[in-house]
Amino acid sequence: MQLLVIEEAQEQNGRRERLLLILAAAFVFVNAFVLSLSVEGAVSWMHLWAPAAWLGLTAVSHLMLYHYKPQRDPYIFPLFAFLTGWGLILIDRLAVNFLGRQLIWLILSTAVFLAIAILPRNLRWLRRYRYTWLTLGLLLLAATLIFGVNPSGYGAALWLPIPFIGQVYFQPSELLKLLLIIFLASYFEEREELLRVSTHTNGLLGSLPYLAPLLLMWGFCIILLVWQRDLGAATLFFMVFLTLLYMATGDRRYVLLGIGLMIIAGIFAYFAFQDLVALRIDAWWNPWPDANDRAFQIVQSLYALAAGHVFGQGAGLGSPTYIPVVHSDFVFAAIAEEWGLIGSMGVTICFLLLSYRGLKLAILTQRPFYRYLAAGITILFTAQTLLIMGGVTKLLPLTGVTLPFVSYGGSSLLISSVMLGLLLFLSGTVEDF
Amino acid sequence: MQTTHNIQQVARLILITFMLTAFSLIFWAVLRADDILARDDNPRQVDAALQIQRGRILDKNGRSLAETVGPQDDLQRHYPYPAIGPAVGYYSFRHGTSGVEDSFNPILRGDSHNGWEELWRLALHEPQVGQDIQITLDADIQMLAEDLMEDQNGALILFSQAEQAADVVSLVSHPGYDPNQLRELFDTLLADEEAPLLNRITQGQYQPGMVLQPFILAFADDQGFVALTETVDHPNRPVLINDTATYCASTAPESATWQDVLTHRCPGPMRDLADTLSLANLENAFASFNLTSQPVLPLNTETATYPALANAAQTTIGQDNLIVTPLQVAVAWLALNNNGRFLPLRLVSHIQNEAGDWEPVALEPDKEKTAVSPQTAATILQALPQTDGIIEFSTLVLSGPEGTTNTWYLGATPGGEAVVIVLENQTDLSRIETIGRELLTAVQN
Repeated sequence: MQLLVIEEAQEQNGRRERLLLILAAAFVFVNAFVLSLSVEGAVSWMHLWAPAAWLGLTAVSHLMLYHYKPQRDPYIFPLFAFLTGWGLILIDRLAVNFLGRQLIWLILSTAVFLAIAILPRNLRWLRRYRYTWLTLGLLLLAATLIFGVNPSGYGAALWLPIPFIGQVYFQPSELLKLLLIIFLASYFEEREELLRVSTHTNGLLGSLPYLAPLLLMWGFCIILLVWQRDLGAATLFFMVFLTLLYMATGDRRYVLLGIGLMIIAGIFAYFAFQDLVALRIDAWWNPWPDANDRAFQIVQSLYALAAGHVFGQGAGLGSPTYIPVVHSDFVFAAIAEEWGLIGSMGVTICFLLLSYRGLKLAILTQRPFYRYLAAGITILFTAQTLLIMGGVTKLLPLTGVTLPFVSYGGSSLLISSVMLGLLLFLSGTVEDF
Repeated sequence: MQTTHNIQQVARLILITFMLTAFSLIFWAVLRADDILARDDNPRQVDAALQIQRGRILDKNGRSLAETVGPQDDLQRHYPYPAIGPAVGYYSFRHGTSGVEDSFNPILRGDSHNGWEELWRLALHEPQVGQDIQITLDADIQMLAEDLMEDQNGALILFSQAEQAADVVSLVSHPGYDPNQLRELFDTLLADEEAPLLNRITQGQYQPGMVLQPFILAFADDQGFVALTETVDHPNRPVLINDTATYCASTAPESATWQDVLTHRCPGPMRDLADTLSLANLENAFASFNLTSQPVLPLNTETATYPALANAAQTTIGQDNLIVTPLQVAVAWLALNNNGRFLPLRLVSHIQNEAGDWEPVALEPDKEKTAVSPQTAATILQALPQTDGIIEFSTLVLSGPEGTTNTWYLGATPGGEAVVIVLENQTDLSRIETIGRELLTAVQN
């Protein structure tokens, strides 16, 4: 009887997922047609082949999940499909030269997403070798100090060329995000009780010995990232670390201490990195006097938000390409201009829903490692989304991170897919999710 | 349980942060949108302006004087009659607008007043299409006037009087410019000491000199200060202006009346008139002919600012502080030719409405303002010299302490055409008279 109920619930989840995917496909194809009409003046295969490939990929993925992962969250894959499909439309619109490359990354990312969601029986292999994984990540990151390049030819050298493939690059800091979350989840699983009791009885300083290995590894990450001037990733790491520490201990003093340290670090960075941090903070505080020079990007972003109004200019009908690197860091501004407030709110709600599903999963899952992993991944997605949305809307200084699944960027898409695959896997471990 | 509670706390914080983001989106996309989109450095404004299919400016016979040509992504403003620049003005995205292009900019741009239509157009991303306007200028006459002026610096304005209004038939300002080449030449034009971008008709400020004589005498007669049939003493005596002796244009009889003084354009008796007319009355004379007020014409018209009148004797021969634009003199001259009554000036006759139909331009309400009585106006006109039926008044004017000499010409035909011309640095009266006569003769024919 119970088995029948479970099967019925799984069937219902499958139908819900299918309905959401149909809606996502309708959105993607309507916009592909609109883009084609607005750019070419006619329906053209040039703007339909990528959505068609996306549709095939999505259909196959759905069938595979239906057969091999019957117990799963019905919202995670539709959110992945919807955001990546919209991302393809945007890259076709904003940087068509990168469309083929992004589609290849999407195929690879979807395959990895499915493999992570379907294949593992458990995640012991991740938990057990936490120091190995993180050390590997740190070594890869350190390698960028010697072999690092920037595909655009200027800016921080955060990428490693992938040998034998040609002009394909990988960003180790993206991988390090995942490895750090795995490390933190594994560490907190082991020490959460100890930390909680120690914090309660010995105070913050008394708990330091228990936190030392964790602080050491995390400190390595931060130092390397600051060395590389990848301050966006460093900020993300800090936020994830602080949130998980709060989750583990329940002590707000850690959060207050962390925020205090962050402010001190920010002040130091303002004076130490004049060309990076000071520039961004000045441009954030009052961009208008420097609108045509150093604050050009943020001002153009604000123009894009304003030009979109409520309903947007329509796909292909706005002028988001005035924003430098719009297809990467400022893709959210392009959405706001061409799909208006409705579109940008839609994306915001998608990420809010993803946060909700991830945190619900973290609450419902029984195993501490899974709980911290689910929460860590969710916090990372959320923090990354809020950092870039806040930067684009001038709520926060710009940090140079991508909008997950939507922005152009292979490494980001691949690692985000791995993390979402992990969430989907974890959702299968909760019976009544 | 403890961890669950902590996660719920984090979830609340996340919800608040997403709500802040949503508010920030509403702030920029709705609350501040119009403010920041209107900023000059917004490139979308440039894009929108470059996409506008601006309406045409047609002459009185329907010939295009200004039109927008080229593909939608590279629209250019084209002026088939380049010499018409000062009248039509120019439209340049970089340098702005002037003349009629400026005065009727919202119509030529097609700025819609219908909110729904505008919304629909924006939704479909259809280009903004402006309406045409028709002006009263005659391209043929304009080209003739240009030819007659040759390379002489100065201004010319020609009217055709109708019952309700005086239509501007020709406007020449020399040196001028080719509005088709504005982008290439703008900086040069701006730096040019001869100020080709200045519309001398509406903005050129000139010493009036003896060109004031018909108006002062008309006022004096109309107000009873003198009778035009009264005789004057020693009409041919010279007056000194800047140490230069200035005589009548032609010798007047010794027993001359004020009419003879006008006919022969004698300055001597005008100085005597200063004893009769105080400065206050002279100011009234100029005010009654609108020589001190701003003419109403859809161009950038100006009124000179000058120190208060100081010397009545100098004022009566136009050598005191009063300075005027040719358009102001034209307004006064038109009144004299219209039985002493002012006529509204008309440069734009018809405007195309949003449905594409032509509608006449409403004139300024006729205030029935008169300068002088019809009898006085007729007496003054009779006293003026005539050549081949053309009433004319031409005079040399010493202009400023540099000793430069300008010439003025007022001419009118019985058919109602009237012209005012001023030539800079010109001492030969026959030159300006030839231009005036040939132009009026051509218009009559």
